[in-house]
Amino acid sequence: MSVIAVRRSNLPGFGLTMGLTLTWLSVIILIPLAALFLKTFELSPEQFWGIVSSRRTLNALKISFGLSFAAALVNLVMGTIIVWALVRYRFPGRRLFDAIVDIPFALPTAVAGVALTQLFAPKGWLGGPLAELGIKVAFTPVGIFVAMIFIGIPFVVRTVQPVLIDLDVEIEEAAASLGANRWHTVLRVILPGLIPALLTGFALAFARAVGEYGSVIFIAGNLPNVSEIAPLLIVIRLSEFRYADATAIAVVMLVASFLIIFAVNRLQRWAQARIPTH
Amino acid sequence: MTIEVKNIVKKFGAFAALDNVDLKVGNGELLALLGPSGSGKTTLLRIIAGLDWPDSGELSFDGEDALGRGASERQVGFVFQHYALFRHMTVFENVAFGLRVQPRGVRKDEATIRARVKELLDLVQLDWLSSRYPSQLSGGQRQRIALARALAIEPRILLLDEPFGALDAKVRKELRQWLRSLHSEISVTTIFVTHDQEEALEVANRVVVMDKGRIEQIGTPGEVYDSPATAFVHGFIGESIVLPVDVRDGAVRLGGSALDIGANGAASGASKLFVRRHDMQIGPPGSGALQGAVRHVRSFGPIQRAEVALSAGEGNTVIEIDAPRDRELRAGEMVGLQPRRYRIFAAQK
Repeated sequence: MSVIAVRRSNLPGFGLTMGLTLTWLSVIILIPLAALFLKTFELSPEQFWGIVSSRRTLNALKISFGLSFAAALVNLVMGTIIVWALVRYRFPGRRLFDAIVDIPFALPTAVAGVALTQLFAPKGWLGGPLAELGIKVAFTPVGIFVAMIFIGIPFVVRTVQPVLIDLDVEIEEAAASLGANRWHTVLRVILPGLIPALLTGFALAFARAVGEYGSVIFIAGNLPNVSEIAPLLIVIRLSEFRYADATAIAVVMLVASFLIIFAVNRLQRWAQARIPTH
Repeated sequence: MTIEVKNIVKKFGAFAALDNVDLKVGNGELLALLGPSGSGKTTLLRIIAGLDWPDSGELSFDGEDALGRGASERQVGFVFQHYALFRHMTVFENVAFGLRVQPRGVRKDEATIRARVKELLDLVQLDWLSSRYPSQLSGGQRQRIALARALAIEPRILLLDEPFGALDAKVRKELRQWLRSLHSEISVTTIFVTHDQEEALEVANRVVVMDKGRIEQIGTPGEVYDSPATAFVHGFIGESIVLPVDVRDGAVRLGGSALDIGANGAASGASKLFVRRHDMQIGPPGSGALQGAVRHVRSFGPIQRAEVALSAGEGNTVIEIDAPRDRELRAGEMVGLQPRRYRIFAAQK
């Protein structure tokens, strides 16, 4: 490596930065993940399969991934609308709203969980009126969904915002002068330019929701098979000292997350290839 | 299509971008809006395109009010300085865009659209690039694609905003000639904005010179160059020597001494004498209206450019003149200068 790559480079520090990068990524990410995999080898393949394919595990995974995906979709749509309003219009309180978007980033997840639970509990401000309509949010999967939307929204907004700011207003004027109505302009000119950023925002919001623990467990009710998320099941197994069980579920989550992120990444590269930058 | 602009006023805050502008553009004209930045020329173009609205005034196309219609309904082709091509579309799709977004009843079928796009790409001589993306093209190619895209909707008026401003000098020159020949081919009413006088004089049939939101002069390139209507036009177009003079009772005085030139009917008071650099005739010392000492001479091509310190005033007025090379000038030499053609404008406009 050092012989081939370093000699002709004008950028100094290749060896140093590359070495640090590899060491750091190994210590922080790769070694812990490898340990996770190793731990599962304490189980025979049958045991592993038994844990992973048990009804409770499958339901927990289904709830985690399914609701995360749905929440990320909602965030994608609502986040895009919020970005549009924040970037394109000047209204009183715009900067305040812009700052509010970051709150889910900064708020300790437990605080968010407690606040959301209070709000959506059957006697809460929002939970009360909703209960009268027959909609129960807190202590149901809907609660998990709400918490996941809450923690995911800034990811979409913050990823798409700079791209929309950079998008030249002139291309919209060009579209208008060519006879395009507002709808055509948005669909054919603006959105295609945002697709890579939208995919990134979606992937980040999704990943965050899958990994979310703190805010969800307060509002979920945590009924096995109904409103129990996979991270919680892992914690339960750990507290029961069934470490191999916990790691088996963790490995499944890891692989599934990796596959999804990988797929989104491919999609993103495909979209970017269609929109060559300068 | 004729265009009529009447009493158009447009303010950005306290700044008047357009101050009561009147303009008539005839059918098939190739008109240049020329002026320094901030003169309002782009604002006027954007108002005609429907991308901006005036605070007051009227705009009509062929006698029909145009302000009631938005940009997408005016059928005006607009070419932006920075092209504004759609980055995610191929060259072909960029040009086809205007045809694809037409309302359902009017929209042509795919085969017709393809044929039309092909025809336009042939017109701008870039058919071979149709499957490329804008980022893969050079600046000159992008601008021609932008033009083809604007022409796709069969515009009644073609507007170009500093169309060659972002290109290098050689490409600019080629595209100028190309635009002129294109215009004679399709003869659609065309207005382009430029701050480059050479571009305006070389391409346009008529030039509108603007400054500070007002039209200073409208005329053919020959008219605005040879008989500038105002001091601004004289100073902006072509290279001029400007001398502060005093007009009193038909006599022109520079720094206390009278010059041997007529006032040409200029009113009394503080004035400015404008002479083109090449309109200053050089003679032996003692001849002509002005005397001076050559300080520095640079020769290139057919001319020599001399810096001459005038004797009138305190001797610190230095002017640059262009002289033919039939008589070589030397630094330190005394010369007499006689303006062949000149104009006198009141100092305060």
